[in-house]
Amino acid sequence: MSRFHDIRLAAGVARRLVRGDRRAQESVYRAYSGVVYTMARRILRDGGLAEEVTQDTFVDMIEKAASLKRPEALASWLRAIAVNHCLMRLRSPWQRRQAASPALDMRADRGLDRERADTVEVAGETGAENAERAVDIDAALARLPADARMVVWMHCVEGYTHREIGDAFGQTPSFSKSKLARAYRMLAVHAACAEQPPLASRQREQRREELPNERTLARSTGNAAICAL
Amino acid sequence: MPPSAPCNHPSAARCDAVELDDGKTADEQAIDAALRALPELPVPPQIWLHVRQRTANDAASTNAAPARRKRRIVPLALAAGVLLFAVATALLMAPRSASSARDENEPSYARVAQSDIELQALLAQAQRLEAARHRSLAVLVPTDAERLLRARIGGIDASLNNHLLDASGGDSRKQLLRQRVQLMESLLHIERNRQREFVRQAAF
Repeated sequence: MSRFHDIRLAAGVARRLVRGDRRAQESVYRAYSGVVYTMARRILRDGGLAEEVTQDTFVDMIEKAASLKRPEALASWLRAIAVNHCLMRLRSPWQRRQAASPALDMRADRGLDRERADTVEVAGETGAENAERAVDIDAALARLPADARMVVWMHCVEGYTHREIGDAFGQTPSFSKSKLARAYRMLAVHAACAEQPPLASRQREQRREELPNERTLARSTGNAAICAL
Repeated sequence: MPPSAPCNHPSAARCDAVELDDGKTADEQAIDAALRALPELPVPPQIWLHVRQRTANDAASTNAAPARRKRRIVPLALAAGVLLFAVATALLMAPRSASSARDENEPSYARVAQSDIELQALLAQAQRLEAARHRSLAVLVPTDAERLLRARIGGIDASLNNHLLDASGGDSRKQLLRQRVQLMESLLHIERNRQREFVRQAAF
């Protein structure tokens, strides 16, 4: 359950990378640059910073490849480098100032996937729905504080455990758990807000109409109140 | 936690409250799935060029660093070598000049003892030996033997001073001076050998 681990390299590329082969370096870059850049962009919400993180990650990869003891652990190693560079940016005073004003942050990066959705060739209604859902969840992610975004991405997308996340932040696993729980609540609320009139799928609406239980009612009432703010 | 049965209820809303295997609610799992389904963003093409540039620059600077280091080290090594050579030469030449002077110009203790001007000769020899000791650099910590010899020479000097004050006992003065010269020669011999050994070790 990690985008990094989903990538399969051709046989021997990792070993050639360790030996300093330039073509292997380029192959690894071509394979992993997308996940590194996407992770950095989704977490940091800044194109320039994401480019910096991607550059730094691959510069480190090239310079330190010789120290990689197990070439088969390349994905984990590369992911750790990328995560470290993201964390370094999050800890920088500039990024903290940015994080203090998440509204600005969100405005700056709104439509990350709307741009992307335009470039994706959408085949039929399902493709369009997926693209819209991606826009919703990405907009909801953008509204989270930067450290919460980092925790969410590390746990939900990259499959880090709470202990690993706690270690990365220099905190306990409880830090990760509480950040994640709060982030889930916020994401659910934001996603519900975004979904409300235009994006709700017809099938889900039908189901809700069939059986409105107490929890759904309470949630919809609460969400409506939050969304109205 | 025992594994819970999958939610088969026809309404998805009913399933929201059901806790699934990994302790996450259906809502949380849906969020996870949505996050994982986010599309990969297109990477700006210039990044790889920058990476290549930076690694090339780093490689150039790391190659240049040893050259710079070498440029700094070579003159320092030369200077240190010259200094060491100068010190070694000074250490070797000073004792040699003293000994050669003694060999060529100084009469030996036995010859001086036979001459009429024995006393003056002993005094002169003692002074030369003293001068030779002062010319050689005292770079080494004295050994116990050297300390003992110096102490005995000091004792003789004190006795000689007493003899000068009472202006008597010419023979005993000569005897003291002979002893002093002997001790000085021994001391000089020990110091010279130790200095030679030191220079030899420093050079190799």
